[in-house]
Amino acid sequence: MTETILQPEEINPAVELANRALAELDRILLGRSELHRLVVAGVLSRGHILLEGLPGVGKTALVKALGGLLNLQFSRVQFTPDLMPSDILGAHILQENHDGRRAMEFHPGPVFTNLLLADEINRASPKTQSALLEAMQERSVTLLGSTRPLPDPFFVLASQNPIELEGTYPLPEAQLDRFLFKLNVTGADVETLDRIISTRRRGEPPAPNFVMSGEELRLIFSVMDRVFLPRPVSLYISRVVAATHADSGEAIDDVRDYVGYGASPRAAIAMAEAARAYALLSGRPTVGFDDVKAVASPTLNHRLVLNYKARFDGVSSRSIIAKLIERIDETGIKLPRDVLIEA
Amino acid sequence: MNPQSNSAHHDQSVRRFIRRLAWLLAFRQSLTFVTVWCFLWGAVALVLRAASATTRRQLLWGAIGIAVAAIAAAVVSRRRLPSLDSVRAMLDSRNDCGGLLMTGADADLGAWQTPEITLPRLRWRKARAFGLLAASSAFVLISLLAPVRFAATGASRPMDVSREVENLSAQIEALKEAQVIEEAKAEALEQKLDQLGQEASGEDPAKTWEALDHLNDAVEKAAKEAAEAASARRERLARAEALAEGLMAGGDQLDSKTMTEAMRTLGEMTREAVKENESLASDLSPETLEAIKSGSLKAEHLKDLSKALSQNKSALNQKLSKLSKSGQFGQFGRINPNALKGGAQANRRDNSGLARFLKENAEKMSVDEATLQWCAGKGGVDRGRGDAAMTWTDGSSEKDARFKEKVLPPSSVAGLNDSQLVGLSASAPTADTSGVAAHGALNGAASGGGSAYTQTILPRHRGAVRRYFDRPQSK
Repeated sequence: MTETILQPEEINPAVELANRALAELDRILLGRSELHRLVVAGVLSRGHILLEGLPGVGKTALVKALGGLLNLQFSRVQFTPDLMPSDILGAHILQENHDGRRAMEFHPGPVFTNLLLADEINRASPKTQSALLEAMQERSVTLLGSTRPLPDPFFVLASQNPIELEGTYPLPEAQLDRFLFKLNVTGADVETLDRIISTRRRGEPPAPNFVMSGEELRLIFSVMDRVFLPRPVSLYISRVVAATHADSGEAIDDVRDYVGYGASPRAAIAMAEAARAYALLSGRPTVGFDDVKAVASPTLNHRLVLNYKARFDGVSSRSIIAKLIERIDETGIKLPRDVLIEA
Repeated sequence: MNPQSNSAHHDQSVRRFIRRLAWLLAFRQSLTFVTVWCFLWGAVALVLRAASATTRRQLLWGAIGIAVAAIAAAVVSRRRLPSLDSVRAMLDSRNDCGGLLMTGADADLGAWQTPEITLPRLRWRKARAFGLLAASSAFVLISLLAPVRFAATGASRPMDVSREVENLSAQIEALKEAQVIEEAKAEALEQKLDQLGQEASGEDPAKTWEALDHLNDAVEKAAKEAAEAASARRERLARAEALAEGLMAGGDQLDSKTMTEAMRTLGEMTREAVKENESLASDLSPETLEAIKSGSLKAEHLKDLSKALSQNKSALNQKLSKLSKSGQFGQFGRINPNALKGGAQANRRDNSGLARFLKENAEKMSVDEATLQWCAGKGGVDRGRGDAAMTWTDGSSEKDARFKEKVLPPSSVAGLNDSQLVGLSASAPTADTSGVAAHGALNGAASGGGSAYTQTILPRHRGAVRRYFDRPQSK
């Protein structure tokens, strides 16, 4: 034993900050504590998040609330079909200097920020969507041969509408794979709706009482990096990701029948990071199997490419992942069928 | 509890669980292997007890296999044991340790305390395994304790050939009674048959059947040879009887030379018959017997001779008839009872015409040959035996056997080639269809022209066409 895991006095400040931010988010936006937990976990994992939901369910409000909570630079881009890459990344403009000479000067676009809200991302053309590929993966922008790093931290929180598909351009698989989570934002229940209309005048969310500074966020990130991932858990993540491929030994029938392409290695990395964040939010210095199970669906659901048979049979990637998690034994113990381990 | 002792305590718990699991898996595997071994042991025991005289004590050595199976099961189950990490992960998951228990194996937990671990219960659905073990044990017990005679019935089972032995015995008895075979030979055959009936065994049925076939062949051969010899003797007796009766009935028609030759021939036949048939001598009067021996047979001896020959022939017929009536030899098709009966019937003929036949053929053949031909018959289906001379009647008519020749008229197309010009007319020709067959596909074709297309020349153009063909030929 050479390594010592995070001790309580090291982890507790970060846990407290993260949970405070989460509680604040729950206070600002009502009735979606599990979604908020995943969003915060995504932010702590320094991942990009794609929010999918019908109009008016609070996708933009969630991102705006998060932007308000984090004392970070925030930009919002409304994606439209005529949006050009330069509208996001920035452009070189011919400028005249004070000495009368003209030179190309770079004007950074809205992507040069900490938190970018890409609203209705699927309405932009593929060319514009592709402009975000480098920014999301490498956190830098290359224009006219020069690469410019983006501010740290950099998050993209995108939203898209699953209906009104006319005039939209579905995100390519390469770009979807760059999102840590794809979260489904659903409508609120009766009780939540009642609370919204009775406590929120014109639905305006309250201003945040707590704002997390950049320093505090970096503290959380540093603690996050030391959350311990035990080997059986990392093995479990690997097995789950491998099982999304039809040719895997542990693939279930649904995967063989409905999945055209399984998840990438990037998915395994994302799962491990998200599970770490989830463990941190639970106040633990180590990742358990339950953390992996909690983040499995939002991490994998947009990374499975289903075939046409799945569409005909009405099978979703979420249902396949749920079955996969249910069938794969996390411990990997293979006992004869007549021998059972009971509680 | 300090963290280090906490970790050691958890390690002990993990190892304790693995030990329990190891015991369970080893026991379960042993049960499976022992069950399989018991079925094998029982099957081998049954086969050995049925095939050879293996004792129970020898078969009990198979019990060593149980110990071997148990050891093999322990080795196999040890290989199937889950790793320490897997068990730790399972206990972590079941006790909601959130990864702390797993981490404890790789890193220092420091101030963190793993919650108290409760070891899960191992459950084995053992009903099926125990049921199969009970069945296999019962099988072994039955295989070992079953009575030897029960197990070995197949080995010493005698073969039931009593019916075949009985048939053969009846055949030998029939042959003996008919004096076809000698007493000693019959006894030897019966002794052999008895021995065969006693030694017939299910172990090697082919050998028994082969011996039975051989014996059957020997009996049938003897019977057939005897039957053929008796039949030949009967033929010779019948011929002598025919000659005696013929001479008796019409001897006065013969000249002295033929009569002398006939008497001499009859004497020789009778001498031969006396040698073959001992009873014939006793049936003849001493004078006649003396005359036969001395070769001075006279017409007055003929009656006595004919009577004695007839009696002997009848006795021989009866013997053969008895043999055929016994029905024992028709079974394999070697001796046909109908043929024996038929032979007896065929020898009853009217011999009054023999003298005339001898007279007619005195110049052509000897008396012996003429008698033989007389007895052989005249041929045909109902006129004697197959070796008789064939007789022919008039040839068959060829009426209705051939087609009547008829010359057909020449065909119409061929007829046109031989047609002659008898005159020309200016009017349209009238087609005479009488007697002209339709040409089918060639309808409308010019005769002998070879073309299927014919251009019709209208009447008003025919003059021009004729003038064209009648124009003087240019030289």
